[in-house]
Amino acid sequence: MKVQARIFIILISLVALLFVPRLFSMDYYMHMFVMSEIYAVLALSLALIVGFSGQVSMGHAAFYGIGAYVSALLSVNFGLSFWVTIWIAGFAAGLVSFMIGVLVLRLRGHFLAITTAFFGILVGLVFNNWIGVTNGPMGVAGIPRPAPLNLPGFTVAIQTRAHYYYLGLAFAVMVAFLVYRLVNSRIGNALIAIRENEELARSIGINAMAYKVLAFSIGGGLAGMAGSFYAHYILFISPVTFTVAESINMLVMIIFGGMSTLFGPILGAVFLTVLPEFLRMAGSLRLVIYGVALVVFIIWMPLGVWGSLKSFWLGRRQASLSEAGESQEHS
Amino acid sequence: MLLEVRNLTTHYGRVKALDRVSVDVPEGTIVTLIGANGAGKSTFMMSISGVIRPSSGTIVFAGQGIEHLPSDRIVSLGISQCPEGRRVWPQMTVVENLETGAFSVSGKGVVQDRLESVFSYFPILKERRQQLAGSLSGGEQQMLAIGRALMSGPKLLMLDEPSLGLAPIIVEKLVSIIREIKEHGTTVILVEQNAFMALQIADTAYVLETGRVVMSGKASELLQNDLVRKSYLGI
Repeated sequence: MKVQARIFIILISLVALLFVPRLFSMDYYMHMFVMSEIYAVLALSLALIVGFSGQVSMGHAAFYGIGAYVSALLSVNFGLSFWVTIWIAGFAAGLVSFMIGVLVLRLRGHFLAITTAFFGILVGLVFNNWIGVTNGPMGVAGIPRPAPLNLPGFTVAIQTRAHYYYLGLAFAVMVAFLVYRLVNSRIGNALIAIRENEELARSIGINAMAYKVLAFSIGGGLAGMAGSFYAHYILFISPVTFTVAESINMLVMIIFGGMSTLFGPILGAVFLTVLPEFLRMAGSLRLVIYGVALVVFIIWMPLGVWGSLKSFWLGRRQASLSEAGESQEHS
Repeated sequence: MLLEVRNLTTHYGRVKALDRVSVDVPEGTIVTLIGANGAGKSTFMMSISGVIRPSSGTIVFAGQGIEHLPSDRIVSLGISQCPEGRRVWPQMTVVENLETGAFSVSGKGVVQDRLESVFSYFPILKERRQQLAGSLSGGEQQMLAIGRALMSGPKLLMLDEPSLGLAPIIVEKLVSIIREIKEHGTTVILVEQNAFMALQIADTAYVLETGRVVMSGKASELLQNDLVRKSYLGI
């Protein structure tokens, strides 16, 4: 596909996404879409760590939670605006993930996964037991909505779900663009080189540890910003939202969609947020169908839905390329 | 002397893989290390490139001690390694593989120049530049791995078993390219099980056995040595 065609398709889809609140006026649907946007950011940030750098993290919800708590507590206790706290939340979560990354990223594979999972549990314990600050299992209530947004010419109050939808859309698009720029840069090449073969990457002069920590910190920071958005959307947070089960949920999203692609994590996030809701009509079979569907997808599409489509398409292009190469040789 | 290795000892856990190995690499020459499987040839290379940390000994490259430097610093000083088993990134294209090899190099112009010079050694890579590296033949992958090692513009190029699993006719092609690389001023360390091929193109040679240097000298003399002929050349 030509670059122009690709940009055109992306623009068309974005315009289409702008009309979603007109088509679905029910709050229930709009809530699902806003949550999809939050999960899209989380999945993209996790894909940067797991998909592009190959470092399996099972503690991503911890950074999501840290961002949510930092942002919520700053606004509730000190009256800071969401527009300030989202950056502080991102920075705080990024800083924590930097420190954790330096410690744990020398581990590989299962060891890394288990260690990050324990980190997630640890953070959950802090949320639950540092009652003086986090209010423990009772959670933090009364989080203010984002202050009205002053755009040149007019002011938008963030009140309805549609407002959050547009804000979340802008957020998700910006994060997607950032991740796109990152993985298509020198840094992205280094990350992929590390994922495919770390020794080889080091032997050609890539400081593997530095790049792994960088990806981990950026991923953690973005998750923290998503947490901040979540906190100021739901207006209440408690430790049950940020468990290891939630980390696994995010992993499932990127595995389902295709973790080494950009569109895959978004697809996984939207699909796996919306699907369980639509399966409600199946009653008690809901989770069974969900589980079976996941197993089927992982067996038949190990690269994820989008990854499989992409590799099918790339494979055809490669075949035609090598045919062209050979005919050149013969001529 | 471009590279001076003195009493290099490397352990894997408690196993001693290299035992007080000393090797001199004069500038502008090809030095080869030959030996059987497990003799420590690859360990020697990885100890120099900093992928494995040696337990004792000194490595002096162009007058500077490098045994404590991280591998990325060693590459930017001018040592480049082409690891065993044609390790390319199969999911990246040929050009992407090469560009990643120039990771320590800054400046688009330099990278472009290097790319052209690699293509002049290996014209086939130019034809296949947009193909995924995993779709190349074994010989082409080996060429890509060597080309990638050249992308950092090394003073010293270390090749680990470049002939492994390649057809004799491709090995011959590689031999002439390695000679050409040397003539363009890059010093080469060649680690080989194919002792006959290695001794033919090298200036000096070292024979490793269970982590020790058991014999060294001019490659042409070792080629005539009875012990070498019997143990490594099968003549």
